[in-house]
Amino acid sequence: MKPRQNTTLPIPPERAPERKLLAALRAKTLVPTLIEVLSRGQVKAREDDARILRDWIESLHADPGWNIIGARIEALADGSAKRAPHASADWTQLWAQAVAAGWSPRSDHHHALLFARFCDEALSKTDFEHAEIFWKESVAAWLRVLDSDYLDAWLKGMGAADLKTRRHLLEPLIAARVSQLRRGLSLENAANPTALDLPQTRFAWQALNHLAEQIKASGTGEPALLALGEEVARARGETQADILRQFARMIDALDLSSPDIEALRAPFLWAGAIFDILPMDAAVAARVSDAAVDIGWKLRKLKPDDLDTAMPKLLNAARPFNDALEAFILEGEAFGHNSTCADFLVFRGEHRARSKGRDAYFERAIAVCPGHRNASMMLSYERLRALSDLLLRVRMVPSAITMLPGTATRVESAIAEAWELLDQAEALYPSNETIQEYRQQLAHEAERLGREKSS
Amino acid sequence: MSEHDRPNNPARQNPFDRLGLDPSLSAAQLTERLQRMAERLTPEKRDEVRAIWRELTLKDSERIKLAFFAHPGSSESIDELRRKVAPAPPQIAGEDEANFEATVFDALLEFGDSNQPGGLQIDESLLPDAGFMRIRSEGLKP
Repeated sequence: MKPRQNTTLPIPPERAPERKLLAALRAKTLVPTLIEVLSRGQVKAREDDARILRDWIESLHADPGWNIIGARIEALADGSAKRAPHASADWTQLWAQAVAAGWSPRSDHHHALLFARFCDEALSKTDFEHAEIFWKESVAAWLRVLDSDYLDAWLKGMGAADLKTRRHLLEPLIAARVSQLRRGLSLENAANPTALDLPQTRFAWQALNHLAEQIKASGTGEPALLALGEEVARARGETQADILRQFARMIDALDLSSPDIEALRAPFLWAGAIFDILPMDAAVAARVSDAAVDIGWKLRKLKPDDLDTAMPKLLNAARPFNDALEAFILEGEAFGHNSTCADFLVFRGEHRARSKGRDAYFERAIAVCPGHRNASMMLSYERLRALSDLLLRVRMVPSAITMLPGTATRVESAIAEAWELLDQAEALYPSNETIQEYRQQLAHEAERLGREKSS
Repeated sequence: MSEHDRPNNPARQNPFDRLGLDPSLSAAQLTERLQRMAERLTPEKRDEVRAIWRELTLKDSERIKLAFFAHPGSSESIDELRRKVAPAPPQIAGEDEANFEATVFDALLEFGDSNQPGGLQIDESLLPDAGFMRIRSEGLKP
């Protein structure tokens, strides 16, 4: 845990009315300029900003950071410098230098609130690029504020030194982002619960992630920040659970009696779009894969006319979830879903347009679910199909050719490969009825070519 | 985004910032301030202030949260501050009275740039800075 900075009191001593009036007049000229510069020209000061931010101006003037940006701001405010300061390439660098020189926690308290407001204004114009910059600046300012004893003194000044108040204090910091996330996912939109605003969702999710990461990286021991980190995790978990509930409702609403593939795919495409932004954990991967497998089995049972085109479309929509589930199982992070995952892979193998590479799906299915009956059976047939192809080629070899130098070795290795395929097919699915037939055919060819099985 | 959610909607603004209330005020002080404020308002605005008063005073924890998300410091209007500043004592005639009538130095400052050809050429003793220094040391002359 990092030691915290000792700072001046957050509530400065009461100033004389004359000084307050002077500060107010100074704020009138400086606040609009500062807002324009800090927001990179994106935000105009409101009518009441000079009043609300008077304390900010007073606080800034006493900070080392002001020595870095003060001259520029004063010159811009009195009109002696060129306008459009946000366009100046060195502003970002200058601001970083000012931050490094130091702002008091009180100034940073203002910065945190201001940058959050700029972020909201950028979002109202769907300007996600600036919104991200402002969100990160706001988070950085909050972390600087809370890396000091400022909050101790502030809470003491408010007569609220209890831990409970402190732990809940920062909740408003994420309220707008959590609400934006839920709005983007239509989680409270009963009229159209499946509508998605992906850019808003992406921004809100990434903003919450950034905050959680910054809290973690700061190594803070501040209860308010630690509780905020927990709150972010809780909000993300709750959102994920609500998404899965909505997904379940969409699946339940499907009419499988007269399946329309586009309608069947819709819940999976919806979930796919969301979990392209949100991280997919084993529970999500298993839930969605399970639904796809369930529909897959029902379709097989119903045998609609377009099954051969419908199944690949369905499987393709749910594929990212099953691929993720497969990885979770192989990494030992998912348990109890092996059979579902293997079923899905078998479906994919079965409905693969080309036969080449089909066996790879059945092999993957057996890897996640050793002994999976359908995968073993399908792979057994795939081995026999390969054996059949090999036998076709072997049958065309005249027995006399084995007398030629070099040919005997090639024939021998082809026969050995054929026996290997037959053994694998048998081991995978001993009750495969065609094995005996293939054995006889292979024995016959081996004998014809003088290459009987030695063992 | 609905109208209510727009960042420039005053209803979304922090109530302390919106009404110029000092975030460090206690619930009792807020009640007193808001009551005084409401007396001067129209019935609609009074209802708005009443809603804010409820928001700020119903639960201490909510007031403290809102206070932390308000800009620190009091934000009284300039008019209020002006009222608090004691009026300057009336000046006694003749005492420290500055006479702002133009002098020769002011006239010199009005001329063109002496560095440019055609501009007024002046020696060092008449440079504007020297003039200011003299005014400062000798005072303005009638």
